[in-house]
Amino acid sequence: MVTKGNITVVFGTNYSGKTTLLKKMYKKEKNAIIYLDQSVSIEKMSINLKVLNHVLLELGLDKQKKISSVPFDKRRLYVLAMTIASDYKTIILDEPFLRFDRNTVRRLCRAIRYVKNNFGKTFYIASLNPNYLYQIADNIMLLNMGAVVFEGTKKDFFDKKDEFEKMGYVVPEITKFINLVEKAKDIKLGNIDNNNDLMKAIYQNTKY
Amino acid sequence: MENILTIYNANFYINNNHIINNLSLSLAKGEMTTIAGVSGSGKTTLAKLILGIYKGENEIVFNDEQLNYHSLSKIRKQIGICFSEPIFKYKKVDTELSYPLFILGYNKKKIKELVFNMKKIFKIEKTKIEDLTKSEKYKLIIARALIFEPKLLILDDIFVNFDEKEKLRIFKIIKEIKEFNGMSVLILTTDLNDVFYGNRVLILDKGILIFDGNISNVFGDIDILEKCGFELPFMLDLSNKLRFYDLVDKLFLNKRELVNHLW
Repeated sequence: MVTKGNITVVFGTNYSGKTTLLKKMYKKEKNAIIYLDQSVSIEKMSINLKVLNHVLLELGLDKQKKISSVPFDKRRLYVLAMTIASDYKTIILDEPFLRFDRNTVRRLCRAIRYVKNNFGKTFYIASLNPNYLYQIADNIMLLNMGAVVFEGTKKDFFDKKDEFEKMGYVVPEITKFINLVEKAKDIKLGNIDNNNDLMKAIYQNTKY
Repeated sequence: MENILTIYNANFYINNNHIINNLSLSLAKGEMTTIAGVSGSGKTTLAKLILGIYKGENEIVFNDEQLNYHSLSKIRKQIGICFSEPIFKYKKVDTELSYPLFILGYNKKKIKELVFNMKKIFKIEKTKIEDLTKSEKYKLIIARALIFEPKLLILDDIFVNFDEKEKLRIFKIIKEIKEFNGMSVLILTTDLNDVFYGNRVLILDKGILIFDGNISNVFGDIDILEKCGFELPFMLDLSNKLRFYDLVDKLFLNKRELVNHLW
């Protein structure tokens, strides 16, 4: 069902089986790399230097630095950058944005989207926090108690947001807000995935 | 109110980087305090200074006793700490939980009873640590820090690993224990959503304490929070943007209130 060259985001609560699913995918895919527990499972990964240069530039990292001289805190950002720039068709990331600040998350999102658009890579990204990842997702997978309860495009997800919220699944704050506006005020703001567009839609809907 | 912990003029450097910059703070007994700061702001370093793992140019007084070479082990026995990476000494849940009690010289019967209670409170049913999921491992380190009834509990950025429901449940457990034995809690976090649980909020930016107050004032200056690098909670970010366009005149934290205000 999941097409190649897309970003699929996996949402689910604790115990929903996100990590288990990613590990299974990693085993199934022949040409894949997995970023788990803030590290990569293999010692030697082949890296596409062209991609790496761009990713490092996007993240504002110095490529001349020796990894051993990088502070421990920043090292995982380098590891993540290298994973994103690695020469594998499928890149699997488990909680990649944990504890990064606002700007770094933004830059990571841009880097992931760039790599996907220009090199046709397939990403699977899992997170407890749906808010940042919703923006860059093409497809969404919802897990609950070890079962995939939804798998589809972002539009399909948006159409069913009310149902998912009622079931208590992990949904982004923005869809909760739009859902509330649609239900309480009968106003359609449309399929929006970020706060800037949401603000514009609100502005247009409150003008009169 | 009596203070459990006071830090005077803490300064700490790593390779000439000023990690903690002239920081003074005091925590009252029985209080739940949150220190928010993005990664690299010095939160973990601060925790390590309090525990005496790092030695800085400072004076730390814990429970009326100055932290120094002689008092170190005594003070550490009163502080429960959870670091952001779970590290375990043993392979079994029971042995791991009884370890701090064993060191403190509890008798076998008491240890068995406390371990049983802790496992029940945190709903840890598995026996082997390797079988635990990520969030269960974090629950185990919280249980391990709480089991010997510390005077101060320090939680270093562990709530990112829990979903909303789980987070609320753990906060409830900690609050109940706090009410029961008067323990103080210090929560270190990168997520501004977590500041709503405590009484008092401190904001740390590049080793400098830039805010100290209660929850209702912390969102007064959104620009400063953004400059620190925080990801703003959804409702704050949205109402701040709407305020810029004169659609609202104050910040809203509740979705329904904002919707009713707009339409």
